[in-house]
Amino acid sequence: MLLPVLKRLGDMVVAMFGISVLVFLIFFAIPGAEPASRIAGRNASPETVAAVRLSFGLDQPLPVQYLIMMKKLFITQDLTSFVNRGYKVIPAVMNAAPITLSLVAGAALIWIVFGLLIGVLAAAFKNTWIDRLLMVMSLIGISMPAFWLGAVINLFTQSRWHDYWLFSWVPPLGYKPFVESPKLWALTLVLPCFSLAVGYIGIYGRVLRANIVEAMQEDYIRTARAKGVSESRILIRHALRTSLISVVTLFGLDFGQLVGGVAVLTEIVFALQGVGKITFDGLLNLDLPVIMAAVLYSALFVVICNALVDMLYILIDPRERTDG
Amino acid sequence: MTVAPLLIAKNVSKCFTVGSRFSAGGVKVVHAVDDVSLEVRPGETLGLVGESGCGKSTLGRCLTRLYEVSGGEILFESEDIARKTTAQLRPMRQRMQMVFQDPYASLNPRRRVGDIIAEPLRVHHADRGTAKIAARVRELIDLVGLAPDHIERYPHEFSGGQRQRIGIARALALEPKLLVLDEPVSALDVSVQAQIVNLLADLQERLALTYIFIAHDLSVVRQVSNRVAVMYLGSIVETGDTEQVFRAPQHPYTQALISAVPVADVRRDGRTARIVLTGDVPSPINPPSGCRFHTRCRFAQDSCKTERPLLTASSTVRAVACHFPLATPNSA
Amino acid sequence: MADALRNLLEVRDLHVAFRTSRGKVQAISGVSFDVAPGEVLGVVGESGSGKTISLLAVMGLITDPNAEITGSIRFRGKELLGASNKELRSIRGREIAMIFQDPMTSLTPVYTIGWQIAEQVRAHGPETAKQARDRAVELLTAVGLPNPGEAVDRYPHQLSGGMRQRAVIAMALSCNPALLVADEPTTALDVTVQAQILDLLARLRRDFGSAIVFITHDMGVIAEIADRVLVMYAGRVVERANKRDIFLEPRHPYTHALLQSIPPITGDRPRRLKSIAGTPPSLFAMPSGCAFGPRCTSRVAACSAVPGLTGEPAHQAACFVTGMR
Repeated sequence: MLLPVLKRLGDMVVAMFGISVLVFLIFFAIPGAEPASRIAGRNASPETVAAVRLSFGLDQPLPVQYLIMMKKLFITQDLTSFVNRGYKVIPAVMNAAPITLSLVAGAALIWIVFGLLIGVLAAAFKNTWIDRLLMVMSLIGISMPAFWLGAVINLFTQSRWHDYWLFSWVPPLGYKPFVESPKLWALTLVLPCFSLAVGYIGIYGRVLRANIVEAMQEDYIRTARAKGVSESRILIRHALRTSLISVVTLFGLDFGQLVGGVAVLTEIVFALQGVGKITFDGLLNLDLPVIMAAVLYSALFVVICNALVDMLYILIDPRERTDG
Repeated sequence: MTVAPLLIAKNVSKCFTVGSRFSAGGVKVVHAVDDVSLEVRPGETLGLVGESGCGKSTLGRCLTRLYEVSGGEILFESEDIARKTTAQLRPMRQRMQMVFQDPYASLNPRRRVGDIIAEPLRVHHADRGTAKIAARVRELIDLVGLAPDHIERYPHEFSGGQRQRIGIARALALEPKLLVLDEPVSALDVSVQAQIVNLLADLQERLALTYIFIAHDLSVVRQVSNRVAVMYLGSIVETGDTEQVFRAPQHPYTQALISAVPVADVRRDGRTARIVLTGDVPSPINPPSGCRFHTRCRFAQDSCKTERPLLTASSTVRAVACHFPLATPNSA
Repeated sequence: MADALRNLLEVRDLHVAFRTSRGKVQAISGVSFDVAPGEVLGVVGESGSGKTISLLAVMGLITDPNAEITGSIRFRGKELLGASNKELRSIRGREIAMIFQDPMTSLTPVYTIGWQIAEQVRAHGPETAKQARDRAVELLTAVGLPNPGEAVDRYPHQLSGGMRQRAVIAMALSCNPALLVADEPTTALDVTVQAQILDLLARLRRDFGSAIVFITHDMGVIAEIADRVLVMYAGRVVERANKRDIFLEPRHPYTHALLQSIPPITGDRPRRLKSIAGTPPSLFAMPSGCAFGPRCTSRVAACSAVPGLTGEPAHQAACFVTGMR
């Protein structure tokens, strides 16, 4: 049981190393403009470029440059932006991370609960009006872009009907750290999480329904019926349980991506200074240190989530626990 | 007696690796075929029998070089095919063909039967011209007992037995000398199975074919084979003339295997001679030491656990890999 | 009423049809049979003969909403066709248990075999989790699984095919069912493992006293285990008799030809096997009249009508030519 977990942790470290080398090479070793002037930004003065060269050790061999970069990123954490003088990149990413995490975790909670509910209900009432209604609703959910939904929600809750009793509880846009006020933290997140989750609820509901319906055709379901087990128990304990395996895979990918910055549109709409927003700003300014830090941070999350999913697999699928 | 064998396999081995660095158990090596030697003479049928996982299908695929062998030599008409390149193999492929178990899976569902049968002809005899190839397809269709109007149909329009006939016609297209038949009748109903068995016998007679017939069904193998080789965990444990092996098996495994077949005859009490083996076939990843059968053998002695018995010839055609072979009743 | 007491199961005039996009398909037509307590009824037939579907109908396990089932299925005198789901559930697994063909797919992959046996025990009785688990160990011992105390916590993928089938049999026996329906329980197994399972079923039949309906395509297995035999072809029963009569005096040309087409394992090898021409009919293209007619060598003019079962009650065949004997 422990050995596979350690193996996957090892794989994770290897993957992170590979990604960091790759990202480094993309920014530092691609022929063309000199990395120093790229890091220094557009219309930088010769002094700035020289400072960059010194700071990143660009006159030294590539492996040394890589080590300096990694040191700046992970050990001294003093990577600074030259485009935006004095902007400390690592603290900015670290401040943004909890915002994105809160947003995505909250959304994930919502979409898992409702996705499960929709998938199980639709499968249980397969080919009835309940099933059809749920599937149409899911399709609508999937078709609504999260940022558009967010904008519409803002339109109603922030301006037009904000004073109406139904929406008076909605705090102004932005983020309130949990430590400052748990209540405000939760309130500010409710609507962003919901608007981010809607599309995923649709996807997960549909995927789960399809998986359960397929599982219900399996031989072991017939065995369970022949045992005299009740239909609801067959649905939950046998069909749903085996269907969860593929949903977990999907979840790992989606969650990792979102935490890595894919929730950027939702962050912008709700004025949340999350990782996506920071990456977005970095891209606008062609601020290489910011982009690098953000890309590595995203990669780290995708890798961690994948490792967690692999471990979750070991928990829910005994076939993954082969011991010979 | 001095006819040269069509195919000789010398010490053929085949290993597979299973799992990966990422799987829990790490990489493991499966010795699917382990040091197998055999000869197939022109015009005969050699039956390869054994239970699932004994390596009989893998051996069949090695003999036709569908798999690369891990070790050993395979001489087909005195040429070592184990070491030829793919290009060098091409002319040989015409002379040895394979028929697979599942007639549903081995035919492309989107192609007409005529095209399926013509494909090997188009690949190997592109110079022949369309008219000649079409004529050959009609000839083959007739040969395997299908009707000319079947040429234009698709595989899904046929029953299992008919599909197996299509597979056989395709294999015969290039006039091979050797057919390796991998469980050709196992997926078929009993009544249809007999048709295909008879068809194969007729074709063998008319076209002077040599067969290697791989099957787990002992009564079918007994019906079609001149000689049989019984496999257990990757090795041949006994080989010899079919009648002799079935009448008086010398290896305890062969004996148990034959006695386990339920007999469709109520006059004799089938259970009297039944030898029920205990346990399962051990994993080929971690095979038992010494004689691989010793864990399930009634007659196992201490020496069986340490020394591996080799296939020794007890008469000219008979060989058994056992330290304590069963006596052959002389009166038989 | 005497019959109802003598027979455990009475199936009368069972019809199963499926509505499909290509029209209505008659899978089972007028199948009738009885099972007496403690006997082994062998049901033999080729693919598509309806042998599995008729027994799934008995178990109430045809869940296809497009299926139409008519006739009568009486278990201990109680009509099962049209019984409520709840009533069926209390019979399934408790009084009638089933073993399926493929032990690889018939167990839920994510639960231990002990869990799956305990689930059945607890579905029908007041046992606690602990008691149910003990019962599982007890059953696994009875079916000869080595080291049952440990095996109870194994997942299906950790067992070999033969061991899995033993676990499935243990599960089926968990409530001492009066009737065990075994659908090709040895077909997916190797011949030496098949021998073990057949021995096991014979022993359990003595120990537990369950009647067994044994579905198979293998006449050899029938010869081994059955008391009486039902031969099915194209959705109908074509012959029924005790085992000896089926093998020694088959009346239906199909039974006769089927026995002839099996290559013998002992004795002289025939130069050619006697095969049956053609293929079993597709459900979508049933021949009119006797379904075996197009493949039959004894066919006469009368065969354009559907023959009913005739003959003395102990041995009946559905054939105009040979059935009247």
